Amino acid sequence: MNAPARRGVNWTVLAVGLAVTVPLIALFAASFGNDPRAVPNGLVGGPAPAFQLPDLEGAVVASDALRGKPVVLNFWSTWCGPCKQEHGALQEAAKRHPEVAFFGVLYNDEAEKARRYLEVAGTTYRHLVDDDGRAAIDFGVAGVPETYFINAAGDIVHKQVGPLDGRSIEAWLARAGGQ
Amino acid sequence: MPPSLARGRRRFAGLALTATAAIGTGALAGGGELDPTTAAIAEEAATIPGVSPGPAPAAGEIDALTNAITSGLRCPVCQGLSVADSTSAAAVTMQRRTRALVEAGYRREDIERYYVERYTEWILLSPTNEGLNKVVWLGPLGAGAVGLLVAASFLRSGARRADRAYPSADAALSPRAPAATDANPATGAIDRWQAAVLAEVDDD
Repeated sequence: MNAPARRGVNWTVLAVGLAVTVPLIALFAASFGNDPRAVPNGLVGGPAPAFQLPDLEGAVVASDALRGKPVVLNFWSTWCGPCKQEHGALQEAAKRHPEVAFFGVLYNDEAEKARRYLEVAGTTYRHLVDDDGRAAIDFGVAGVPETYFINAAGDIVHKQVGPLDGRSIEAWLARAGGQ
Repeated sequence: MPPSLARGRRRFAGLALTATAAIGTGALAGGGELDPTTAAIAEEAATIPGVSPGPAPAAGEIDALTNAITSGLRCPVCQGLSVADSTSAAAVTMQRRTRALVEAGYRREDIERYYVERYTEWILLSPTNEGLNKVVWLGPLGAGAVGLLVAASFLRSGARRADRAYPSADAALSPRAPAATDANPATGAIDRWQAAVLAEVDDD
C-alpha cells in the first residue's frame, strides 16, 4: 500500500484566514467588558457644562457659584425606583461631606411630586428643577438615576449610571476631591 | 496634559461657565447676584455654548428641520428607534431641545455636534464618513473585493486541476498524446469511450 502523500501548508489560505479571524477576535475581546446597553458620554474627563436651575423653593443655583468645591449632581425622579433606592446613601454622604455640594436634579417630573416625596423620605441637600430637560441633555443624561461627580476645577471625574451605594459614593468622592 | 495647558483649560471653562450663566439670565442683578426668578430661566433662549446661531429659519421650516435632525439621532433609552420616532421621556426632551435650538437659528451641523459632544457619535444613527468610520463604509466593499479574488483564485486552481486530470479531446486524439493519456487509467477509459462514440457517429 502506498503511504498517503504529505500535503504542505497552503500559506495563502492561512494568511487570508488569519487576516479575517484575528481582527474579529480582537474586536470581540475588546468588547467583552462593555455593557452593550450603556450610553457613552463624551463629557467625562472634561469641563462640566454650565447650568443654572431653580431649586424647589424657587431660588436659582448657578454652576459658577459652585466653583472651587467638589459637586455631586444626582439626576432623579419620583417615578424612578432605583432613584429611591439610592436616596438614603446620598443623604448619608451629603451629611458626612459638608465640603461637597450635593444637588438632586429633578428629571422629567413635577416639582410638587418631588416636594411630597421628600417630605416623607427626607433630604439633606437641595433639589433643582430641570423643567425643560436642558441641563439633563447638556450633561448627556440618558435616563435616571445618573450621578455626576465634579471636582473643584469643574471637571467631570465620573458619571454613574444606575443606583449608588455608600461605598461607591465614597470612592468617587475621593476621586473628585472630597475628604 | 502640561500644567499650563490644564490651567488655561480650567480658566477658559470658568469663563465659559460665567459667561453662559450671565447670558442665560439676560443680566446680572445688582451686586453681582443672579436674577432669582425662575421665569427668567424659562424664557432663556436656547443656546449652545461657544457657538453663534445664524438667522432663525422661517416658521414653516422649523418642524421639517427639527424632524430631519431628530430622525438622525438615536433614542438613548430605546432599541433601534430614532428620537423622532420615540415617545419616551428622554426622546421627547431631546425633541424639545432640538426644536428650541432650530428656532434659535442654529444650523443642523451645530446641533448634531452639540449632541455628539455629549453622547459621542453613538448618538448618530448614521456614522459620519470620517476617520476610523471609513472602515464601516469601505469595509463591505473591501470584503466583496476579497471575496471575488478568493472565488476567482479557487476557480482558476480548479480549472488547472481539471486540465491536468482531463486533457482536452484534441490533445487526447493527437498522435503524440497516447503515452501521456494512457498513463492515467481513468483517462484511458474516457478516451476509449470517446473513440467509440466518434466511431459510431462516423458509421452513421
